This record gives sequence, C-alpha cells and structure tokens, in this order.
Amino acid sequence: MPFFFIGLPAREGLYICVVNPNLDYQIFATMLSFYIPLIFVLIIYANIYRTAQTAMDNRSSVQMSQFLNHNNSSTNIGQINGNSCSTPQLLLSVSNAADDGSAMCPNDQQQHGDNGNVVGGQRVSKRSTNETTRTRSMSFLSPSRCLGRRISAPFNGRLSIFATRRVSFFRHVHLPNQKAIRTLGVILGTFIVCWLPFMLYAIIKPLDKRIGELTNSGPKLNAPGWVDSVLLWFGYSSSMLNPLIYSKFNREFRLPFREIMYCHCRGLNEKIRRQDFLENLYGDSHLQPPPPPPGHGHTSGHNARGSGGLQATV
Amino acid sequence: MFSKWILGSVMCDIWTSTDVLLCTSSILNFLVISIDRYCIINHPFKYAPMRKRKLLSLMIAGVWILSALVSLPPILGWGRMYIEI
Repeated sequence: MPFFFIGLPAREGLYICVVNPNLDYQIFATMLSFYIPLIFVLIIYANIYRTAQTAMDNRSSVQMSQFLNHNNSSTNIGQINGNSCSTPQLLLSVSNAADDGSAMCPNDQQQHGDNGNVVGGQRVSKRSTNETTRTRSMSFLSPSRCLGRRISAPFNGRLSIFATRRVSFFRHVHLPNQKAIRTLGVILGTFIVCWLPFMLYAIIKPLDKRIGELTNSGPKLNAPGWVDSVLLWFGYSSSMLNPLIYSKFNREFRLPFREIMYCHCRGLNEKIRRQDFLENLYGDSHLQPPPPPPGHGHTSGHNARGSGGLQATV
Repeated sequence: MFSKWILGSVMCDIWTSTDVLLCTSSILNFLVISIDRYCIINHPFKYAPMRKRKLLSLMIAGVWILSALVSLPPILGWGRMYIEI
C-alpha cells in the first residue's frame, strides 16, 4: 500500500472525517490555495482592466478622427480602410503570419521596426503596405489601431479575453468601460463570492478554537454543522459556474468546452483552427458574407476587422 | 452531511485530500488562466512565441504539483483528519 494511504487504524466507535482542523495547517493551506492566488488575480485583473481602458480611450478618439476624416475627404477613406486591416486579403495574410507572431497592423512596422524585435509588415500584402506608406503621416491613427492588432494578431484574433462579439461592441455600449467592468466583475465576483466565505471560515474556526484553548474559555464560535457544508458547497459551485462564465464571455473557451462536453476530443485542435480562420475571415457568424472591399463603404468600426483586437481585449 | 464517517481512515484520507487537491487546483487554474490572459494582453509579442504546448503543460503541471503540496501534509502526519468523537 502506498505510504500516503496509511491512515489511522480502523477502530470501533464513532469517527468524523474532516479536513485537518489544525490552525497552522489551515493557514498554510488557505494562504497557498486561496489568499495568495487571490492577491495575484486581483493585481492581474487590475492591470488588464487598465490596459483595456487605455485601449478604449484611444479607440474612441480614433473613431472620432475617422468620422471627421470621412466627412472631410474621400481620399482619406481609402487610407483609413487600408490601415484598418479590414479587407479579407489582408486578414488572410495576417492569419497566415499569425503563428510566428509577426503579423501586425502595418503601423506596427513603424512603431516597432526600430528595435529590430519584430519584423512585422513583411508578410502583409503589398497593397496594404503601400497604403501604410500613405497613412504614415496620419500618426493619430496608430495607437489604437496598432494596439488592437498587436493584441489580436498573434492569436489569430481569438484571444478575445472576455469578449463576446467584436462587431457589436461599440454599437451597444455607451460607456466605453462598461463591458470591461461587467466582465471583470462577473469573473472576479463569482470567484470571491464562492470561495472567500469558506476560506474565511476555514481560518476563523480553528483560530477561535486556538484562542479558546489559550484562554481556557473554550471556543466562542457555536456555528451549526451545516454552515461548513453550505460554505463548502458554495466553493464547489464555483467550479460549476466557471465553465459557464468562461464560455459566455470568452469565445476561445466556448468551442473546446462544447466539444469536450460531447466527448468529441479527437480533432479538437483542427476544429479550433478552422473556427478561428472563419471568424477572422467572416466575423463571428460564419453565415455573414465577407465585408465589402475598401472604397465601397465607409469605415466605421462595423466591419473594420483590424479593430477586433480592442474588442478582443474586453 | 453525516455526523459520522463509516468508511474507515483510509477512505477518509483519500476523500479529504482529494477534496483539498481538487479545490486548490481549481483556484490555481483560475490564477493560471488569468496569468495567461494578462500575458496575452500586455506582452503579446513576447508571450506569443512562448505560448506553446510545452509552456502551457508546464504551467498546468505546476498547478497540480502545488495543489499536491497543499493536500499532502495531513496524510504525511501534519495533524489528522480522522477523529474519534
């Protein structure tokens, strides 16, 4: 019998089976399994939120710039369109280059080419590169465009962090950071609501017992036995809610979850790649026709694929 | 649920340590997912070439090793789970 299965010898009498009520162990376990991860998660999501907010601020100003340019000059429309990486051809080239992380918004070439770190733009189609040259003077366009592309390109546009639909984002959301707050709130809120009561109780109970032993007054906490169970099941419910939340807010999780649920694990990677490709090409709905070529429509964010990265952020 | 445990000490050890193991790994997986998201967002070009099967497997393995570290001490003698009442 392996050593870790050795327990106390079975004896006659009544026994209870509880997780180790020792205070030192409880502090060790809850610190390692909850409190430290919680602090990290809070810091990480605060950073993500800040990044998302910056991206959205930039994007709002860019949309305004686009709007103004659209009204001022028809030649600028083509330039913006080329810059926005919105054509299927460009998307295709971005998708092809995505695996090695070299695909990016053409303006990235301008921004990052200097340090030699990235060789972006080389695999982007010649036409768009020419258009990039023309748009370089429009420096106000670069921050959000390139932030968006920087985020989405290396992952075939599927790193939709918590994103649901890229295209509809700015049509329905009035406050720019509303969705980010909602998404982060749901993910973090569920985690904290589910686990914090149990973890607090796991510390408080042995702490109360220890204090009672030290002061010889006995434990003061007289919580009924079912409190343990209820709090524990709250924690368990987090495991049930997480798949639902992640598949609701994050497209990257949705297909794998569905396929794993149906036990269709074989060829899962192929399916994910295929879905990414179709989404990159046609948007969320595969039934939608590809966006019109540049010059045939205006360039607001509705079909600007290059802007997908931002929505992918939040 | 029940006021007493009738399945013996070995089953009690298995039950409770599995419980701790799975809860911890659930939380740590949540942490690892958020780290993954963070790296994608804030350092995409540094992280993208690294984000391969090997690194992700390492991260998941780390989660399970840490969870095992948390769940094993009671079995190895740090206190006891099976208590006579």
